[in-house]
Amino acid sequence: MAAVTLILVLLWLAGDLLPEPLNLGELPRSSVVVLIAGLGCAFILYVVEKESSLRRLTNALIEERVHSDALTARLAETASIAEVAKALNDTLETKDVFGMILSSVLELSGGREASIMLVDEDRTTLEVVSYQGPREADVLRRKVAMGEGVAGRVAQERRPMLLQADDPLVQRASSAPAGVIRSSMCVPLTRRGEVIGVLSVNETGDERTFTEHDLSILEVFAEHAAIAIGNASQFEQEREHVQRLEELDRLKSDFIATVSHELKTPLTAIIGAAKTVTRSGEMDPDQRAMFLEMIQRQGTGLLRLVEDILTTARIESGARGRREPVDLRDVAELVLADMRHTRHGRDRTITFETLPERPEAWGDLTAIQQILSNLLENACKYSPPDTPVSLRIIESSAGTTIEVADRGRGIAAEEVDSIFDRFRQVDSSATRNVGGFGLGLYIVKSLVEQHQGTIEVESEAGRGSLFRVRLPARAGDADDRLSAPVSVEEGTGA
Amino acid sequence: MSDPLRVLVVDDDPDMCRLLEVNLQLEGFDAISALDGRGALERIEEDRPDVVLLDVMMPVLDGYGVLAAMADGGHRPRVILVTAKASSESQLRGWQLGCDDYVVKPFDLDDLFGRLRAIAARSDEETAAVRVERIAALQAAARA
Repeated sequence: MAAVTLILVLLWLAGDLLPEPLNLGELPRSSVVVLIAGLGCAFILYVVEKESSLRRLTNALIEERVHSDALTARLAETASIAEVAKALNDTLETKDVFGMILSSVLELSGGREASIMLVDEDRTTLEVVSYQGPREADVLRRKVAMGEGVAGRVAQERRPMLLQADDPLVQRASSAPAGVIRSSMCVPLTRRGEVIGVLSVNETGDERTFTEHDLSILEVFAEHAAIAIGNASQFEQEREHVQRLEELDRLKSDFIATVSHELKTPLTAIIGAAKTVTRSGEMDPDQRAMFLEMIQRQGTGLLRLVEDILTTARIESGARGRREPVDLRDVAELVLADMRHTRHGRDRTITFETLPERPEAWGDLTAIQQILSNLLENACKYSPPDTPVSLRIIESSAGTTIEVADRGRGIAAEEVDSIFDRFRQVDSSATRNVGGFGLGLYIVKSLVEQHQGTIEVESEAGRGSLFRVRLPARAGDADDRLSAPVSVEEGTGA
Repeated sequence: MSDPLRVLVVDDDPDMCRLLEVNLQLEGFDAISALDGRGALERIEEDRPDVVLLDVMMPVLDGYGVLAAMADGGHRPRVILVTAKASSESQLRGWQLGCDDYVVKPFDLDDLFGRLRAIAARSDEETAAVRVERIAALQAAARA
């Protein structure tokens, strides 16, 4: 533009100098020289101008190109994050989600190893829950305290960290067999404003080091990752919840089936015996007495079943018993007399010894009675009728020990732990059929624990079992109620 | 008049055995009893009863086990399963193992004796036909 103006000006100047009509032949030599010189200058100026604008254009183009490369890269990053985010949203298995996050992170960042650590429930430690890289075995399940190390600090301070090889934190972590960490990124995983864990990537090769740009991409990615982890763990919780409910439902159905079976059998005998006595006018007195005893015995059995259910309900509602001195000889004699009327306890030799003569326990009378009764009934139920059962009660300064031994089939080592479970009976076809709810030992253990006592069993399959209950001596405090069984011990362990 | 029917009562509860034995005798049957499945098999071979009233849930060998063992040969009395197990799966299993009737506890004594007499009076072909019919009905109910 400037060049064109210059030429016009020059032409105008030249025009002024030239006489009318234009006649080049008549022009003075100097004017021609000036004109040519002017034209030359104009041309040079034009070329210079053109060249500089061309250079500007080239520069602009180069700049544009660089910019567009960055843009393309950004687009690619965004696209892969979006792609991963979508895939993550479609995945609900925690393990799959972890795997997908880590392989995407490694691909996006070009790193060598990556890990996800999650914050535990009481928010004191982080644990590696998933890892991809060359040292699988020793990394998984590794723990670090909140605030310690790179991960602990990222989780506590809720800010990402980018570290290079010369950082002391990286040098400390570099002892791993994967080789020296050259560059490391760690970002918090945040869900609903709370840090749920951290996502880390390490570069161990010589190819490159991570930059602030890499870190910002990882942060964006971590947002999606945290949502996916949150969804998956929520789904998992729901599923576990449903499984627990299904298990409870199954237990309930089993329980109802068992209850109806266990109640129907004595009811059948009671109704049948009553009907027989009623309609047989000519029945001899001995037979009549036999049927009346049958009604009493079966009725007592029914009552015990109902009591077991009620006691279990009471235990589960958290109700606590009284605390008072209990004369164990009195209680034991009462229980032994009752045993004579039970199906498995009648015609049975039960030996009974005490030390001293009248040992005492400190606790709830009804509960202790039930402990004795259930242990004795169990011993009679699981041993042949012609073998003896023994009861020993020993009081010492430390407390009271109750031992019930039988010479029955015993309990296999692998079954010992589960015999105290609710609804549990040693599960072989031979004993599944002995009857009962499988509540007896569960009740015993719960009641013993309410007294801060312990129960143990010594048994050998085929040789019999010995159940030993230890109840502690009267405690020094003035509390007249039994305290809850668990909290005391747990409190001192921390 | 023919000899009275010999009935074997099998139940792990001695009271149930006594109750049924006494009532069977009052009804004019010849009654014997056993307290578990193995004892039942011994009584079947030695005393050759006509009908067995068989409980299912018993120690040592349960009622299903007794039915299965009886299928292996020897004396084959008619069998009524007398049990508190009321589910149709339990009933189907009993019929498939070859029982001739299935009575759920608590039962009515008169009803039980009525069934006992009816079964003793049936021919082998009739009991087989009843069994096939019952299995088909239980399977149809299970599918529905």
